[in-house]
Amino acid sequence: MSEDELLSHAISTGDMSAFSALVRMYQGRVRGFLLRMTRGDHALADDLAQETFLEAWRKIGQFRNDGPFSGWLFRIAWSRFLMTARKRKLEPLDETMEIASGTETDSDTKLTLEAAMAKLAPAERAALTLCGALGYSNAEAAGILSMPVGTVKSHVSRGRERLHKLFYGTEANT
Amino acid sequence: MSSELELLLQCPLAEPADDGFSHRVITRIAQDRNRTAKVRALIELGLVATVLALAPFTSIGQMMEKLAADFIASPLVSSAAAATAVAFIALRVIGEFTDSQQT
Repeated sequence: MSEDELLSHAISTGDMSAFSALVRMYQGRVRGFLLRMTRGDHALADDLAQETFLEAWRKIGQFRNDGPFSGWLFRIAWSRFLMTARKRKLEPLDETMEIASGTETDSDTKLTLEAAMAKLAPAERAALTLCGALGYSNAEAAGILSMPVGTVKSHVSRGRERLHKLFYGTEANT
Repeated sequence: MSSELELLLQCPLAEPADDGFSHRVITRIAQDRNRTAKVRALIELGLVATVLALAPFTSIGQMMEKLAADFIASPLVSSAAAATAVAFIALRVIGEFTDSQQT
C-alpha cells in the first residue's frame, strides 16, 4: 500500500495496522531528527518520538492533505521537543569545545558534525537539519517550525556560519 | 561556504534501527485506546444509572414505565431486543479480537 492509501485508511477507518505501517515508515527519520535535537540523548529522543506518534494517532483526523504527512509529524516532534526543552531547561552548549578537523575518516567527520551541531541553538539545529539532511524547502521548514520563512532563512544562515567557524576557525565567505 | 561542510549538511540523518520501537508505539496506542474505551463506558454507565435513578420521579419516567410494560408484553419487540443485544455483543467480541490480532 502507498503512503497515501495508508494515510486515508488510517484517517477514515481508524485502521491501526495502516497507522502501524506509517510508524514503521517514518520512525527512523523522526527518531534521527529528535536524536539530533536532544544532542544524542537516545532515551529522551525515543520518548519524544513515542509521544509524537501517540499524538499523531490521536489527532490523525485533523491532518489536512495540504502538505506532506512527514512534515506534519516533524511539526508535532518539534513542538514536543520544545515543551520538554522548556520543562527540563535544556540549554545549548557553549562554544568552548574544540572541534577537530582535517584528518578524520568519514565516520569521524560525521561524529564531529554532530558535536558541532550540538553547539548550535535548537532552532538553528532544526532549521539546518530540515533544510539540509531532510530536504525540506525553507517554506516547508517554516511551516514545521511555526516561524516566518525569513526567520528560518536567518537560522539556516547563522547556523552555517557558526558551523563553519567551529570547523575551520574562520567566518565563512558567503 | 566550504563545499565539504555543505556536503556534510546534505548527508542523510543517521536513522536508528527500529529494534521494536514501532511495536512499542502500537502497543501504547492500543493501551491508550482501551483506557479511553473503559472511561467512555464508565461515563455512559453513570449517565444511564443517573437517568434510571431519576426516571421514577418524573412524568417522562411514568410514561416510559407504561411504554416499557407494553413493549415487554409484545413477543416481537422482545425478540428484536434480544437479537439486537446478541448482535451488539458479538460485534464487540469480534472487534476486540480483530484489535488484539492487529497489535
